[in-house]
Amino acid sequence: MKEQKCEFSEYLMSYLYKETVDKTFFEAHLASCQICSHELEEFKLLRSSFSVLREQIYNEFEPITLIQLQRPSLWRRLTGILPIGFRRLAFTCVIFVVLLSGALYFLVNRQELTVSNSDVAIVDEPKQVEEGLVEIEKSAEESRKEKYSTEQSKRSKGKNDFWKKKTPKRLNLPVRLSEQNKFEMTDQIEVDEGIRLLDLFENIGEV
Amino acid sequence: MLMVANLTDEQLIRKSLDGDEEAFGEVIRRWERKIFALCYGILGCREEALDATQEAFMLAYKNLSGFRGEAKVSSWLHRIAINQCLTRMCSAKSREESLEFEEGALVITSSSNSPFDVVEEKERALLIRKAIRSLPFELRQIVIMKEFEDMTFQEIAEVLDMPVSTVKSRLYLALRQLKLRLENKFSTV
Repeated sequence: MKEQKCEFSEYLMSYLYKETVDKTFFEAHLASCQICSHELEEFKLLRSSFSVLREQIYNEFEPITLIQLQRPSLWRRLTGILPIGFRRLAFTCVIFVVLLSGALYFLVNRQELTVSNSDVAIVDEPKQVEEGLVEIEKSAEESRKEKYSTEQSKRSKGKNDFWKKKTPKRLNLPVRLSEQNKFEMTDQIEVDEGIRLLDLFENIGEV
Repeated sequence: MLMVANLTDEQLIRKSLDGDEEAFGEVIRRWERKIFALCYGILGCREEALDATQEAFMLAYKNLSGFRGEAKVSSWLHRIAINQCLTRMCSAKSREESLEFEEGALVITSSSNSPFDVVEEKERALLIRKAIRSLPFELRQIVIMKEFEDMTFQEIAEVLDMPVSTVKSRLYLALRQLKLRLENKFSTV
């Protein structure tokens, strides 16, 4: 059965929810319109049954905690992308990787230790020990020699310097000698500046 | 605390934009019940409704800068909540799940102590919920906002961005459909 609809249905809604603008006008209409008056009664009954449901809905309400609105940490933001099951899996994977790397590190270190032990074992052979000792002695001797030579060179250097200070200046003297008392003289005569020149002059005077 | 309680919604949003979390907390306290009722009415499942309410407030908090102040804060929050419900309904549809009413969760506090009355009220409430759930989404959301949230026609029109007359005519249609459905069901009970 198709129900009839009055053109004042919008007014009916306003009247039902007490938001009407012109109450007296619609009440006059209700008195004359059976459709509207009938619907008004039915809608009022329907609304009374809503109140039970409304009460129940508000009873089931749970307040929102403000903690959820606080800005999450970087870790939470990163992990928040992943679902809970996946997060657990990721956590176990991280632990597994850490343990595995630790075990690998331990194994590698252990291998290095065994290698060094074998080296020691080879050296334990008597011949090689002897050779080794000879080599060590040789190298020690060489180093000693080197040290000695450097010390010597240092000393000699110091000596030369000392003699350099003492040596007289070289004088170029043009000496004219008679044929009788001729004696060979080099162009350069090394003489002591102070003493030997006098001797030389004495010699010349005698001549 | 008292200062925050005295502020309007718009002032609270402005304070929240300045980084005052307490101000947004007050907005939540004011509107969480009504938003939950809206989500519960639309989704019909308590847990889903709680999640949708939380998600709606989270989205609102994240997009505080998007609030231009042209509409009321309540209208803005309602729009976010409705969109959240629609998203959840679509995702449930895509997962081929149905957000059915939790029949077992119905706890009715009856004024009469008679067990017969309690059972009758429980059955009646369940039928009403099912009837509301069976309404088309456009009509359902208006019934919920009007009946469970006590919103005015003007407020509903603002939320749904439609004329007041359309809201009234849609509500009229919704009530008629509900009446018809419940008449059939009550006669069979």
